[in-house]
Amino acid sequence: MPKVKNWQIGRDMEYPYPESKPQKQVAFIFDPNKCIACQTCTMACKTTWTSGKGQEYVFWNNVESKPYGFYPLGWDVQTLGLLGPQKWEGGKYAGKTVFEAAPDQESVLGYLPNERDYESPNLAEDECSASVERGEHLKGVHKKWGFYLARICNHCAYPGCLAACPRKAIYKRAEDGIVLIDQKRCRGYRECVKACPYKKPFYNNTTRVSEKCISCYPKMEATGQQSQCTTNCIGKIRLNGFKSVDPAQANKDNPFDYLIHIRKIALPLYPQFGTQPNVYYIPPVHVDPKYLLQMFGPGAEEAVKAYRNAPNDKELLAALTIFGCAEPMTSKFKAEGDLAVGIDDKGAETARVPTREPSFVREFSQKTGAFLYNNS
Amino acid sequence: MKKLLVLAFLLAMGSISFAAEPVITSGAVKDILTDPMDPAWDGAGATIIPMAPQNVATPGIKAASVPSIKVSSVHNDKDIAIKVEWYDSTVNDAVNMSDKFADACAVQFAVKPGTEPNFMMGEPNGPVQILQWKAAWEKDLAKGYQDVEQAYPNYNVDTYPETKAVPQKANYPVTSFSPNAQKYIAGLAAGNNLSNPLKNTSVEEMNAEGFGTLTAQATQNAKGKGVSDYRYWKVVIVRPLDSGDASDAVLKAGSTVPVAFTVWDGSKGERGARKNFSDGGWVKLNIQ
Ligand code: SF4
Ligand code: SF4
Repeated sequence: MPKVKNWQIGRDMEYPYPESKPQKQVAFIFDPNKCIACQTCTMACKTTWTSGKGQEYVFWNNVESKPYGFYPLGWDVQTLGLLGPQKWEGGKYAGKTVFEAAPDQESVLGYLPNERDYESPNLAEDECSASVERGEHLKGVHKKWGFYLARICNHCAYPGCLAACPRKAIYKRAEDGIVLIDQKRCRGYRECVKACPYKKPFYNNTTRVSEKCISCYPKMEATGQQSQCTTNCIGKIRLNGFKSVDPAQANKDNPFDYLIHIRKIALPLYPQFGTQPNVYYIPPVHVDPKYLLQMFGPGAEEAVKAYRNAPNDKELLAALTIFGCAEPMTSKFKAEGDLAVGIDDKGAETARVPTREPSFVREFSQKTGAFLYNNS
Repeated sequence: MKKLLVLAFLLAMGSISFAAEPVITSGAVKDILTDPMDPAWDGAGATIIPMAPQNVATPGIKAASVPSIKVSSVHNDKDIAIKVEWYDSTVNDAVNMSDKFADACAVQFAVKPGTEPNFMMGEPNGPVQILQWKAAWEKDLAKGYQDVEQAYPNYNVDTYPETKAVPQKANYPVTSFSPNAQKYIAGLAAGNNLSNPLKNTSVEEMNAEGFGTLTAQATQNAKGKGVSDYRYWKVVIVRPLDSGDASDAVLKAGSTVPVAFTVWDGSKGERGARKNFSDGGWVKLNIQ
């Protein structure tokens, strides 16, 4: 099997195809610290792409309450379970990826979900890690945690779906790294559904072939705008654009390169799977560090520290503030005093927003005995 | 003594041939046999072909799930019928649910006369013609295109793009969608044979020139019928000896051509490359 370079696991790894890099790579950064699980992204995607017959259960975008929410049921713990306990040695992954752990007669370690695993798209909604005892929240800071994990296809550098398709019906576009399933070549074998560790290809019950997130490429090509799930996000947790393919060529003006490669604050989801996913997450700060290590790799603790310090870090604050501030893709950003400025690839401004919300302190009213005012 | 016993056993099997290198004989008949249950098949003879697991290309299977198949054939100078029988304790004919796979079998010919390309899907410049009978399509033919409402009879939906509101629990076939609404059915809009709800055969005709190259033919002129009879699939695939289609193998009476077989057991998750094929690859088909 050919060897490819996977920077996310700090080493070369086995992959069924030799390295073939796209000219640029579509990327997303999600900040779960800000997600409110309103599912507007889910519905924006659903109404745009998957409201057809046969797609009733299909969610190219879903938001699940971690640690107990999954769609499909148990997708990540199942794959983690198949892999078994594995180790990181510093920034290097010493365990096996889903390609390296592939059993006899398979090219990827995976499982095909049971149909019933798709029954409850928002199972365990709002459940947190353990139950909070009555009154516990009044006694100080409790250690129970939970967060919302928004998920789409990761348009991986080494897609598991593509590796497993015996028909080569799945391809990664050379121009932007978007991973697509050819709807005419697909024969509905569901090898991609089985192989994708993120379970993001879905079988269409009407057309009998598989489909997946297309990174809104028709919207992007026609308008230069970010994906539907990004521009519709109420919590402004998302940024969609392009990162440099090679981390060594990271450009500090590019908000993706800056947050992913330079500040290393936006991390891949389960890098140990080995697909080198291109949706990056800012780890939620209040979550058990062990869980973060498992989910986002060894960089999680540092990322949390840097994020907590963002109010004192002008440039980082600027990069984080441009999220959700414009429909067009932002390819450059800068901090201008207390403003964050976004610029598109033609040099036009996409956003100019304050990094701090203007605030107003209300005085206590002796007359009403409250901070509240009305005309009385 | 042992040899004699084996001989006696072979004789007892009557017209079933157990030769080391099996040969299928396609005798001439007046009317072609299209129904696998037609008693006239009894006179056609049969050949047992051992099956092997596909484990050359990934994904594969570790052991054959179908140990052997029984093949018979007849022709009438115009069409040839090939009957394939195998034991399968479960009928799997649903492909309208995300975790279900259907039973199937396929017959393969070399397109270029006198050649024996790689028996596994052919090779570059060595094309093969593949005729795949599908239990799922047989069900489509018998009961109408199997869709979401057949898989989940109690499902609810308000509407689909460019369609009027769907009456609850009503049958709402894709064939009744307007051309505009059909554009939202991606596989169908892309012209994928599998997504086409208008089926007029249970056999799909394809060509291949190696692993991963399988492509549906523009002209589909094979027919078939499959019946599950006491846990045995009995399937007949019928095609013209000479269809006039350049991508089909031309079969001539009075010749012997190579033929290969594949069987899939849907209950074991077999599909695509996860399959059983005729052990040793090509088998001889003697068209009398
Ligand atoms: S997330 Fe899954 S479907 Fe998307 S590119 Fe990666 S392996 Fe393929
Ligand atoms: S729209 Fe944004 S805030 Fe709402 S659930 Fe989706 S990612 Fe979270």
